Amino acid sequence: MKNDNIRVVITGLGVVASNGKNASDYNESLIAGKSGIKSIKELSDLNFGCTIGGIAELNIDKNAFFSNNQLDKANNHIQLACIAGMEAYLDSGLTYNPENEENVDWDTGAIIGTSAGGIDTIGDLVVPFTKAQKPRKIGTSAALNITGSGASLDLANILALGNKVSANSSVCCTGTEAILDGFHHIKSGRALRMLTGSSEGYSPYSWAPMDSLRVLNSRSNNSPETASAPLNKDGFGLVLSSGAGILMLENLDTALKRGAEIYAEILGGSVNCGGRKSGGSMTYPNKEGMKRCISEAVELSGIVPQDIDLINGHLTGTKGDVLEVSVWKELFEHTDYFPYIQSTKSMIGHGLGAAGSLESVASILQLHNGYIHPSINCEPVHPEIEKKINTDRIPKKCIKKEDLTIIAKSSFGFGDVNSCLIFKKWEK
Amino acid sequence: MTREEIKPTFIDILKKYTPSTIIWDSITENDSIIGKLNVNSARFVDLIIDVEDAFEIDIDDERMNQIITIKNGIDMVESLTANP
Repeated sequence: MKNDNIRVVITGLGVVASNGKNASDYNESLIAGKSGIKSIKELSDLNFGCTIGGIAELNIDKNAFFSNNQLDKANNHIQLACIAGMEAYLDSGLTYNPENEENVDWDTGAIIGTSAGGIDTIGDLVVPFTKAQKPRKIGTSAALNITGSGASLDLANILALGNKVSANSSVCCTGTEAILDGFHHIKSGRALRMLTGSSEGYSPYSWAPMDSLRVLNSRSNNSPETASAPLNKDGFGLVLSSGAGILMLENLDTALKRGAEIYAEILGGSVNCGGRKSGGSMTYPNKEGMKRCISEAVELSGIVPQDIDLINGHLTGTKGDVLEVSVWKELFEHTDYFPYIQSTKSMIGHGLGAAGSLESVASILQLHNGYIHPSINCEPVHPEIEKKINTDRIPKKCIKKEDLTIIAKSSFGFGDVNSCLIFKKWEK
Repeated sequence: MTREEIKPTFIDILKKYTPSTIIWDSITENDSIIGKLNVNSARFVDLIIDVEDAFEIDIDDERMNQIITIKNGIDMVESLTANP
């Protein structure tokens, strides 16, 4: 039933972040500007340069579905995804029936992406047992735990999802792109609902290559809460974190028919790659690629740049921040206007594959509740950024903004991949 | 090893994989592990791995497929600990 007029809305949110164990807790932390970054003893024991990070703690005490479905055998990124996924599912007003053995929901699917996925299982279980010539002792849970779409598969099993069940992977753009993929899948008429987002577990194995690449902030080990400093003159590098963010996307007609509460609409979005040319590299983007991506997102969404109230940026606390602001500035070069701009990473660090979805959940919470969260640790703002924009466009404290309507969520990833989503608040 | 030595350990391992709804007083050795005891068939291999580790034996795929009831399991351990 392809219909050019299918609109896609968000009817449920789920999240586990280093500063919030569920959506409501996360919301409070964003308003308060609360950091989730702490010292991690294991990292100093292992001789990491950067020994701090954000670990999303599992809130499993009240979750009976967790033990009923033996999720205690799942690894960290799958556990996080299932907790957040169940939260989004129930938040959207759907009912979970633990006794269900037969009925499949053919109209609902899942795309939950990840970057490093089950690397903890690989490093701690599969590799040691195989090298010790005991592969048959690995146990049955490893097969699904190490597979790229393990999170989507486990969630689909719990919720009897019968539509597309898959995972995407595009480094820092993973979460943003998963949402866009789900949006297109519904818009094409192939599904009514999609649980979309991403999950990244905590593992020294996934963080070690980043430490080796020297892109992490190794200078602030004694002050974890101020270490993640996007937009700052002294952005010393990334601070990593784990977590999962899931959005229930839904066909608007279906949502209205069943009386679901609607948070926001996805107007559109874009993804592309800069090819690591014209100055682009593995760790620094091609400016032209970034600009094409955000321009296309705006155009495909049927808006003009001046409609954007807030940019939730990629903004990681590296020299890429200056480039990111200047690219956005170019989009507004014909006007005096520039939106508010923020970095959720200032509080939760860089969630790698989970970043885009954690930040998208933050964007929707702000639209729904009418506020703009602060970018903590941003002062003193980088002088090159001060030249481009008025720094009161960067809220340092939470601002109440009931008329917040359109947020542009951008992610600019490793390997020069770009993505941008346009969210619009739903007016009842 | 004798059956008397094997059985308590074997039952303890089974209890890790059976649902809490099982009433053990009413269970006999002829009850099936996946059927009557409701052990998840996807976890059966893990149960076998635990049995192998506990008794220091190897249960190959063919032998594993012969273990249907509790009695089959205990018999298998008895025979493999006598003739490894």
